[in-house]
Amino acid sequence: MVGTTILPAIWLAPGLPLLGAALMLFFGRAIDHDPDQPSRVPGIVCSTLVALSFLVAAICAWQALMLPGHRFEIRGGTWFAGGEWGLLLDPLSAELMLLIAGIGTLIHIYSTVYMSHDAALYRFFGGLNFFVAMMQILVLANNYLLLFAGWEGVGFASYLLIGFHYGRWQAGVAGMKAFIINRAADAAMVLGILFLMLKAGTAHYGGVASSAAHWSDTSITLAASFLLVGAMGKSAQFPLHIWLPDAMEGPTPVSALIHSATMVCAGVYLIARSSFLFSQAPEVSLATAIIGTITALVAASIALAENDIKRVLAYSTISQIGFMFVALGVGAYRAALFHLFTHAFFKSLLFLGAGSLIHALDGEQNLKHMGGLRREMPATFRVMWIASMALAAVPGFAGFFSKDAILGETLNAPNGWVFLIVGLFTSLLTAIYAWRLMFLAFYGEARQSRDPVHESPAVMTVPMYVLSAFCVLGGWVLPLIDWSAWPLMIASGVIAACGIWLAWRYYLVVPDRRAALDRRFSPIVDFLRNRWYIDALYEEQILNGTILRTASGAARADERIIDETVNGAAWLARQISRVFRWFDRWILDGLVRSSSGAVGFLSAPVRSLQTGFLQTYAFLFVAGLLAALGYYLTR
Amino acid sequence: MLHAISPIHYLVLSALLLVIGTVGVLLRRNIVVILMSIELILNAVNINLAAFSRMHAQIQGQIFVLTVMAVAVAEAAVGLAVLIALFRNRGTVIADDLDLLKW
Repeated sequence: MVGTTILPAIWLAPGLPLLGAALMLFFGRAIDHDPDQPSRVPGIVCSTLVALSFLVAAICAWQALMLPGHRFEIRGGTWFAGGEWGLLLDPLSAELMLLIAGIGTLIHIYSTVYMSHDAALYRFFGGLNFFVAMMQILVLANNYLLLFAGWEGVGFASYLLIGFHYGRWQAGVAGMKAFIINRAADAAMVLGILFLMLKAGTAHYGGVASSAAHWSDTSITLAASFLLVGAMGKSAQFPLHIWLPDAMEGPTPVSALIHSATMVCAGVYLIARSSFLFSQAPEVSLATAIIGTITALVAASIALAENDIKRVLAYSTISQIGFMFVALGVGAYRAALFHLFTHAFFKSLLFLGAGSLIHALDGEQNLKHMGGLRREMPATFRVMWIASMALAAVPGFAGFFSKDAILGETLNAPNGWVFLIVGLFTSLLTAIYAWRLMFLAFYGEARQSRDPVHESPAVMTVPMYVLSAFCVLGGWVLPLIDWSAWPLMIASGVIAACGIWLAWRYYLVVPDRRAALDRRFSPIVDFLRNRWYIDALYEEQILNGTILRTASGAARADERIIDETVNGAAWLARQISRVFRWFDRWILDGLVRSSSGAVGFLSAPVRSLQTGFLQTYAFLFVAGLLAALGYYLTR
Repeated sequence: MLHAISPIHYLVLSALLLVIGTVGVLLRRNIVVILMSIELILNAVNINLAAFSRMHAQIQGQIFVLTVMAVAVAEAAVGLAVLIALFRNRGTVIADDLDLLKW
């Protein structure tokens, strides 16, 4: 391998899945046309292409890190005024590229069995491939415009996949909700990118960064704020988080890939990529940290009261990304990406495990109707156990080190102790809800209606085993671990243990007292069950208030102005045509008719000669002859 | 006493025949009769030609008579053929009923 490099082929990392998506788009229906016998071909083709993409990504990442400067860039032509566009491979994009392709491959394989009962799988796998391709473009882009293209692409892929079961009303609505909320945030992001291009004259990261060094504080704050709003939308941060729980209407592998491991991390990536802006904009960074803290706390508390297993995990995702935002806000970009890395493994594993449960229970998602499943589903139980340990940040598991890195960094920020305290409290909630899920689903007595329950096949469990290995080992990235913060490590270890103990005590040992406690704290319980009334607030204020008012105003404007304009134009045309009709009838028609009338009138004497009787003609003939004869004779 | 027959007698006979023929053409309604009246006109001309031929002692007039007779025979044949076709189509040989030429 010395001297040879396949780095110029890095475009294959997004190119292969894009090829798969194109194949499914153009030939998918031809391959998989019979809804009663779903074809396995789309799954196999698309999984293979993503696996190949991962292979390319892995080799390229390794070779790029061998290069001096650890970065590699291919440049194409000029696109818009965005400077030379191309692909950039550096440690940041390499990490995400490997995560996307790696977890994407595992989830593709898992899906071939999980989705095997569904029809039209070419749409599903085509969408998954399209998503992987767009996400690779997003992270490999070397400028903001190309990043934005990928950004919108993943939004669209997300819409396609959430609404995969478009026959169900909720799935269609959830897809639209995700799309619309993301659009609202993306509008701010477009403004931010346009602002950057306007100021820097290019969208290329390097160009913007070198230009930004000379900008005024106001410009930087403005640009960073716009980008932050975009990142909040994609990463489901409070108050734009409401689309993510609804996105759980999509198939579970989609939730695992898109709504936990990769797409929602795009916002974190964007801020990390724009760190040159955010590190110069302390107010925006502070806002990022505050938003992250609020999100982490709110989402974790809601997850405590959710009964739908996927929604618990969705709120958990929101909460964990909140942690990453805290890290970004305090300037700990490496800690944020470290947590992104570990979170991707344990959260996708949790979703795949949840999918395995749902698959085995014929689509049952309510935790209240699960229980004691560790006996029937030992493999799923083992991997979920590991993933929950990682989520609860038990020492030694992946989530522990990364979350600890974030909490340790908060103290470097001004007033960082606030973030630290709230973060520790959120960690406690995290441990509780993670293990509440485990105790309800896997321990205690069986509450499911289906019996017996069967473990999922190897095609589904093997990807989960692979991920669980990363959940254990993924945290031991020694250069990123700061052992000097050992008191904090001990504290968070104790907190995790307390959380698990509380969940065990409350949900398993004394379930009878739970009802009494729920009654006593019913206002709080109701508040959490209604998700802090945020969704209701949106519905009341935005949908029924602003949007309804705007829509009815627009309808009135439509009626009064546009319709009246159209009707007025019609009235005017009628009046004008009335004049023309008069002219037509009396002038043009009159001319035509009078000319024909004149001919008729003038020809009347001559016409009367034409009797049609032979003998009249003969008589005239003879008379004429006699007249001529008489004339000559008498002359 | 018997007067010699002079050319003037022939011309008077010819004129009478011509008038009878012309009046027949103009007044009779049956086409068969009209055709017969046309024959009268032609023969009035023939008498004229023959009379002048004899008076001037030249043969050309009599040759013309024979030519006119041949043409008259042909004319009668064509005319009767037209008449039969007409009768088959219209069921009549009365001239007043055949007024399609009217404007």
